Amino acid sequence: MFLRLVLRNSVLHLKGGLAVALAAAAASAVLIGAAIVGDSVNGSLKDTALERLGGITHSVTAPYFFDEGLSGRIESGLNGGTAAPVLILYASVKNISNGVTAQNVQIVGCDERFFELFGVKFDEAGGLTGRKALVSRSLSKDIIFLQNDNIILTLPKAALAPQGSVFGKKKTADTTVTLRLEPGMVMPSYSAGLFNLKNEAAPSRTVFVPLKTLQNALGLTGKINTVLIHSEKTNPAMALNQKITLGDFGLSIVEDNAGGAFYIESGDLMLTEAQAARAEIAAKKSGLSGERLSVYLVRSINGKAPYSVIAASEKTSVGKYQILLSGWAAEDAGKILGEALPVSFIKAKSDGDYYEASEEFVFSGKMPDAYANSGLVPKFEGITDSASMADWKPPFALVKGAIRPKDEKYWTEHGAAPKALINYKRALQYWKEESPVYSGITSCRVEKKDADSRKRFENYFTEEGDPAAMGLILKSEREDAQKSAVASSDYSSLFAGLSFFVVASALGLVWLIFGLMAEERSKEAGIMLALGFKPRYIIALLSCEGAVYALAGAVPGILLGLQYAKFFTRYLAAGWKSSGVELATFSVHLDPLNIFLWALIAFLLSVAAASFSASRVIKEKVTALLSGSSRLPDVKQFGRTNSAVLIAACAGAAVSILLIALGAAKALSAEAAFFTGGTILLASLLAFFSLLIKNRRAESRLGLALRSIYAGRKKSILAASLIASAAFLLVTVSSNKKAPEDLDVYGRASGSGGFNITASSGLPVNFDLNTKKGRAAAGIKDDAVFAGFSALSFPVKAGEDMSCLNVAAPKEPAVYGVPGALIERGGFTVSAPGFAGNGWKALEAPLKDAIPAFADSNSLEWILHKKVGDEIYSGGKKLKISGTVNESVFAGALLVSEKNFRANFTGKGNAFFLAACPPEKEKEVLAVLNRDLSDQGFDARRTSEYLMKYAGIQNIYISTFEFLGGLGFLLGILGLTGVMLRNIRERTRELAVMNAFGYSPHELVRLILVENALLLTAGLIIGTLAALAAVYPQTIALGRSASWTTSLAWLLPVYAAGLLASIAGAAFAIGRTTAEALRKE
Amino acid sequence: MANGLQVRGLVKSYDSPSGKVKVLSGVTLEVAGGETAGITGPSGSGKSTLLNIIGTLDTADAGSVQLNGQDVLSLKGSRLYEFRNTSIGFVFQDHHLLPQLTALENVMLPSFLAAAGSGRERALELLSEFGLSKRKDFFPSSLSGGERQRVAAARALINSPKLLLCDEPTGNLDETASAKTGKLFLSVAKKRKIPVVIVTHNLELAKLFSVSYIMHDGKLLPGGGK
Repeated sequence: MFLRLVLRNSVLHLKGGLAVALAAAAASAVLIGAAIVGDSVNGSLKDTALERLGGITHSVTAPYFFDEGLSGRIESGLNGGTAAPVLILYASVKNISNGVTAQNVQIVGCDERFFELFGVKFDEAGGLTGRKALVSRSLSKDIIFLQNDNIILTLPKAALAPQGSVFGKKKTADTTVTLRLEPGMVMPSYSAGLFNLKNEAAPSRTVFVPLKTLQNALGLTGKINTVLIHSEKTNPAMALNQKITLGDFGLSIVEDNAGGAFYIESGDLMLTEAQAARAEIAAKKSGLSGERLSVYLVRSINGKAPYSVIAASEKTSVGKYQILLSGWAAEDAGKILGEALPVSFIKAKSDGDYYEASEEFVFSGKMPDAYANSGLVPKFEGITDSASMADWKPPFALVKGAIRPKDEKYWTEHGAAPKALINYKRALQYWKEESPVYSGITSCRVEKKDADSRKRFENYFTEEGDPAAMGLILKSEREDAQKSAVASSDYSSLFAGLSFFVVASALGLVWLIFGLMAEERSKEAGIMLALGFKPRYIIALLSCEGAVYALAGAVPGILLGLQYAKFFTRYLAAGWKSSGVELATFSVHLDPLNIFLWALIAFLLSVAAASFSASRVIKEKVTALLSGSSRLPDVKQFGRTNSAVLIAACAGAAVSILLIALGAAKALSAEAAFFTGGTILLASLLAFFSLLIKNRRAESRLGLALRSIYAGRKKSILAASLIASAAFLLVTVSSNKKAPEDLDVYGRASGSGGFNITASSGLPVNFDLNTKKGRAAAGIKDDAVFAGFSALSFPVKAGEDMSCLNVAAPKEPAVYGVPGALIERGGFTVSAPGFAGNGWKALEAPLKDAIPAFADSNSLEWILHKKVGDEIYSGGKKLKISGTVNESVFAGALLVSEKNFRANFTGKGNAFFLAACPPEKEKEVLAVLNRDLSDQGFDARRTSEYLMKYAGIQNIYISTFEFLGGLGFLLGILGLTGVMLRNIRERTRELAVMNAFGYSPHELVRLILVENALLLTAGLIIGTLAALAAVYPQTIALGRSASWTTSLAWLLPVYAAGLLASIAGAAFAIGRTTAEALRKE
Repeated sequence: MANGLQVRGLVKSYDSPSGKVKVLSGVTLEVAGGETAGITGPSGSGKSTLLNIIGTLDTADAGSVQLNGQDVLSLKGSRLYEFRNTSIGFVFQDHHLLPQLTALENVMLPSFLAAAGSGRERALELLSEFGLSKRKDFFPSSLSGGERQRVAAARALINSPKLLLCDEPTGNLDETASAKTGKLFLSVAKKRKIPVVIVTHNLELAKLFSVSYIMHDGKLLPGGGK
């Protein structure tokens, strides 16, 4: 019986039911669509992750260069798998024909084995030989690469002394290699053309270069830094561990000239602590004696012996201030035992210049002959490979006049053999003063015992322990890519949130339409109640009818949801692209389970709305239901004001003004205070408005309209509230949209910190750009424009972008070292708990077991999903978020103090810059920086451009909200139209009577229009007033031009739709206000 | 008769599932100013249709209606509404007062369209004339049936119409209230010297009018009179 009733009623009330089904379809479409958008972003990231890897399942990488042969040795142990040796570097690439340069471009030195991993035949890849290069499509767009264009790569030179050390060359000409390449084909944006080992969603910008060409250009013959592996069956770890050599760790063994010992040296000048420890263990297991050594170059010993090498061994007991001299040096110094002996050192300055510093030692004895051996000194490019001292090409200026014939003679006979021995720890300290991350261990010396000593040592060294500890990392690329291919934000929730008003309006429509249907059947409900049915039964009956309609809406809901997702994936892709964010692949992905889940949620919500609506009607008294009097207008006494509402409205207004004032005074979070204050003000104004709708005398046509508003005051307040909410939300949200002219680049508290220029560089610029000398050393030729110029340089540890420009969730964010000068100066809007004054000081406050770090407030919350006090790892270091910087140029990286940076990260040197210059010079300064520092891949821009990239992404979401919000309110207006039609239909008799007394249809439409226009206008004014109060302090008062045009673009259609709906409703009703209508009564 | 109401040869038919149904078959009627004409007849005989056509709420297929020499059926557009507002007063069986307006406001309703203004004073006078001064601020839901009908009559007279049309004005009233209301219409006709046409089932009431007719098969037959 129950089911039969449900089905018969559903069919009987099909017309209204279809409207309910459509509203339910709208709700499910939006929820399902939002879920599909989220699935599509994640699915596309996963697609990209797999596409960029092709057949690569694993990789072996190291921070140093190792033997190319490792690739073949791994392959031989793979049981059918393959391996390809590649050299992956990052360089700046210039298109010679148009001068357009791109920085941080991935350079892949590879051969046919690489392309086989992607199933690409080598011939198809354009025959990668000689100086031919293949360019990825993404890069070709960036540098406007046309057929026959030649390109020049500016690559960092390999195997140099660390840049931070006194031996490290800094000038671009000394630190880079250029390589001119001929055009090959442009690699399409799939398969090998997307190759990238980094978890990046954007298509990689890559130049593929013949491996041998790249190796030769860099002087790295036979060396690589990556092995790419395809192995489905065998775990490559076994193959790697069995086939490893010392060269695979970037190490080499150099035989002592005398033959009794050998030295373990690194291609990077210094051994790491782990390498030295492994060497000691291997020596011990081999039954040999090993010792750590450190050598250092001094300017002079006792003012003589220029450019001498001094040594230190952990196995010698030399006092902290003692120095032992070789026979040659002792004679040259002319000192006797116990006498003070000044030793001078060469130190580097930040502007690229050098100075001398001196230290006093005590001449304490003769150095053992074993240390007067050039074998102790690893290769220093430009020094140890010189035939004479006069031929040295050190980074510092060589005072050739100081070099005596006896010095040259020593060089000829003994080369770089040390002339003095000092305390081991002190020697290490000289290196650590240059950078705390340097170990200072330049080699390990192992004494031979027999002919097999070296072989035994090598075996123990390579077989013992994990290669990863030596820096040789085996990674499961495919597995990791699938795991880490997750979006930085939950786009499902984001779009569900942005679509809130559509969902709310759709459910409101279900509630409204179903409510009207239930009201129409109130007599039927009354009869059933009178017959003894329980209200619960009737509500259940109506709810089930609602469920039938909601179910009917589910199918079109899914189809509409798919269209919603298609539209917004396209919209997102286009929006991201306009902000410079491009996804390699972006397409709609469907997860049936997720779609079912959201369809179910939408269905349940719709049924709940229908049920709630039905229960409201059934609450009326049986007699009222039977007579239909529940639908009569509720008219009460004249002019009585509800004092409770008045008090609440006054209190709300006071609280909102207080909140807004506190926000303006920065006593509270501005956004929260303004929005909350504005919302309360909106509610208060609506409450005041509800008080205005009281029973006034209807003694004019306007009075008639006001009386009608009063008679249906609940619906009237609903209509005004709807338009007021639309106005409030659209105006407040739109005011957050930013245009370039809104961005303050001169205010210290702004996101620019007062720096109107922001720059990054592909290769480090380790010179002080504040001085003429530093700028000249960096390569700036035209210094005239730099009057009034100041700059801050930030050392950078490369990592993933953690700003909203990165669609993929960053695993290891980039880190910038904040110079002490900025910490002292202050600026930006920093929030660091416990540091009320200059918040930047929090970066220098020591923490027990972590490095204090700052993050951009938005990036921390929305991309990293962390908060102040949380910990995060980057470069193997634990960072603790001590504070945030508000909406700044630092959105893409974590910030630590430069002091902590240098103590914990090697980094790539200064690669991020903030500069200030007079506005009138800005254009010229930018031109000179970008021109003269182009070899370093310097990319200087107006800070507003940087900030606008981030604001652009926010603008996309704001526009989406505006669009969906506007759509939601249009749906709401549709609901209002329904109410209005119903209302007018109820007033048919009233209108017919008026018609009989001479009110023309035109007059009646005008009356109804006045009623609705009054409500809509009141709503518009109330919403706009509340919004203006909320946004005033952060927009108009700050001189920012809030984007009102888009607000109006949405408000006006909503307003117009409301008016049109009332005209249509009135016209529809007037058609029925004839004598016939009266007769029917 | 230049003054008063003159109806000649009115014909009206409606479409029905079984074909055209003739409701009026050449109705002729004359009511002079100050006269009251009562029309009785069975349900569905066309009484209300006649009244609606005279009151411009409906159209005729043929025939003419003249009020004080003016051809009523030729009126169109704004002139029609103006005529209806200023020249005709309606009283319906179910009073049709607007529930959201007070007695005074209901009476004033037609006057809002008049150029002279809201007619508050005139409405108060009418309410006073009909003994409703104390009820002026009452909403219809608080008035008795007779009171509601008197308010409706006052509303019909607010713009000093040239013709008063009453469709079953006592249909919902008891005998006493019906007699009282009938006398009211007689006095209105006399005092204002306007023709009054009353459709009623109440034969006792019909006897009070100057002339009375019986509507039968779409024709108006003489039914006597005072």
